[in-house]
This record gives sequence, structure tokens and C-alpha cells, in this order.
Amino acid sequence: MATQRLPNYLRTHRKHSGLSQSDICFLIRLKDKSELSRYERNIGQPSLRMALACQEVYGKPISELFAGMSESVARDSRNQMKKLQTRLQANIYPQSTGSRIMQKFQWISHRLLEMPNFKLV
Amino acid sequence: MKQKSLTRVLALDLLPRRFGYVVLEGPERLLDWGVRSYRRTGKPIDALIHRRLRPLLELWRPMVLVIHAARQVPPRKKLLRERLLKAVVAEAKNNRVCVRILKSAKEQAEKLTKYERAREVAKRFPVLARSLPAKRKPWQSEDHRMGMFAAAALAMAQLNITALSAPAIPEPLASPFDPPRDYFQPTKQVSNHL
Repeated sequence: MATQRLPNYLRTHRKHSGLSQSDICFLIRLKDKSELSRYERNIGQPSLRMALACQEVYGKPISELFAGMSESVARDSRNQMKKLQTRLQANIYPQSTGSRIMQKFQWISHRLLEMPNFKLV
Repeated sequence: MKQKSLTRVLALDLLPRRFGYVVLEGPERLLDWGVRSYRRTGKPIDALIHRRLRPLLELWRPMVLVIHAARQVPPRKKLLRERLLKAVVAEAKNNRVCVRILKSAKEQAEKLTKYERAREVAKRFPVLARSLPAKRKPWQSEDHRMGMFAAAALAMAQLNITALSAPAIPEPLASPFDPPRDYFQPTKQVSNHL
């Protein structure tokens, strides 16, 4: 039995810290605690500034605070990179060694191999 | 990096007008806990399910919902409890959550009191230790927070978590600015025979 990670774990980290929503709002400079409540309930996405502030306050990386979102973005980026790789591959000719397309292709292939969940299809 | 499989469990300790709950993700990660109640006029079961339980199911999207099997309840309360159980199970099915009703065989075998079980839970998850009420006197009524500990014990039973030998209250910190060691992870079980 396996479930996917939740979009964010802001509420969990706040409850472990023992701080209230008002306290966190003060720390990350949010005007209204209802805004924080919305983010905790996955209604709307926080700004980059707020995400970075949360990282600083809770002492956890953004990829852990927003684990589900981070995973879905990573998955999407990987798929896009694979698509671009196939597109570039179609345009490579044997005489194009050292060309711009070859450089792009090599860079993307290298990046895909570096990725942790990469699967050769 | 291999992705770990996670089982998110929502455990409930149901009472006619309130329930204690705990959400665990895997055996080590405590996500949420608390007591939710409805004490206004109207139908308490509907309000408990629609206003209190539904948001929890939508927020945490558990895979399993664990409920305690009905204890010996007086006939007057039996009907109410059955109705509440049915409503909870129906709501869980609407949200595509498996429901497991656990019996208390293990507790009876160990002969633990409710308070002793709560202490074990607090040992396992030190963050709950600050909510552990004082042991009640025979003439006092039960603290509402005990529902939370009963739910945690259920979740632990579901995930086969054993009790451990760590202190219930975390040790004092070296500096007030240092994060506690057991900030997110429960304490590991200490083996006595090395």
C-alpha cells in the first residue's frame, strides 16, 4: 500500500513547532492568518517569497515542506526534458558534431542521467 | 533514489459529540492530531461528519481510516453509536478510503489502562507528551484530550508499532535556539541486549 505525498506539510511542521497560525503569520510577514490557513489546506499556492520564508522559519528545505508539489513539478520537468531530447535527436545529423543542437542534446542527456528517478525507456 | 512507500492512516476515537484523531504517514511520521467536537444544537452526527470529519479526509487524503470496535455500550447509547459508525463509514467510502475496525484484543491481553496506553503513545511521539493530561482521579471525568491518545494507540496498532523505552518528556535542550532532536522523528527503540 502506497500513497502519494501531500502537496504540502506546512500544518504538520507548524503543529510540531507548537506555534499558532498567528505566530507564523508574524514570522513570515503575512497580513492575515486566513491566508496561511488556505495554504495549509492546499487552497491556492504560496508565493516564492512566502515559501522561502517558511523554509527559513521551519528549517526544512522547500522540497520537503512542499513535497507533493515538488515531486509533481520534478516529474513534469523530466517529461518536458525527455520531449526536448527526442525533438533534438531528430534534428541531429552525423556531420553536426560540435554544433549547437549537439551541445544542447548532450547537456540534456547528461542532466537526465543525473536525475535520481530517471528511467531509460 | 528509491521512493519510499507511504501509508497514511487516519485513526479516530469516536464519541457521540466529539472524536479524537491522529494522522500518521508511515510508522514514524506524525502529521496531525487533535480533538474535534460539536456542541451546538442540531444533529450532532451530521455536523460531526460534514463539518469536522470531511475536512480532515479532504486535507490528509488517508489511505486507511481506523476506528475502534464498539465496546460494551449501554443499549441507550448503542443505537447512537451504530448510527455514527455507519455515517463515518459512508463518508469514508465517499472519499475512497478503506475503513478498518480494530478490536482491542491486544490491549486486553496486555491489561493496560487507558492512561498507561496514553503514556506509551507519548513515549513514542514526544510531541504529544505536552498534551498528556494528568492521571484522573476516580471522581473526575475523563479529559477530552484522551481521545487523541486513544486514536494514536489505534493508529499504532494498525501500523504494528511497538511501544518503546524512550522518555515520555524530551530531555532539556542544550540551547534554547537548538531545534529538538525529536523534532519530527519519533525516538528510536533502544535495545537493551548489546
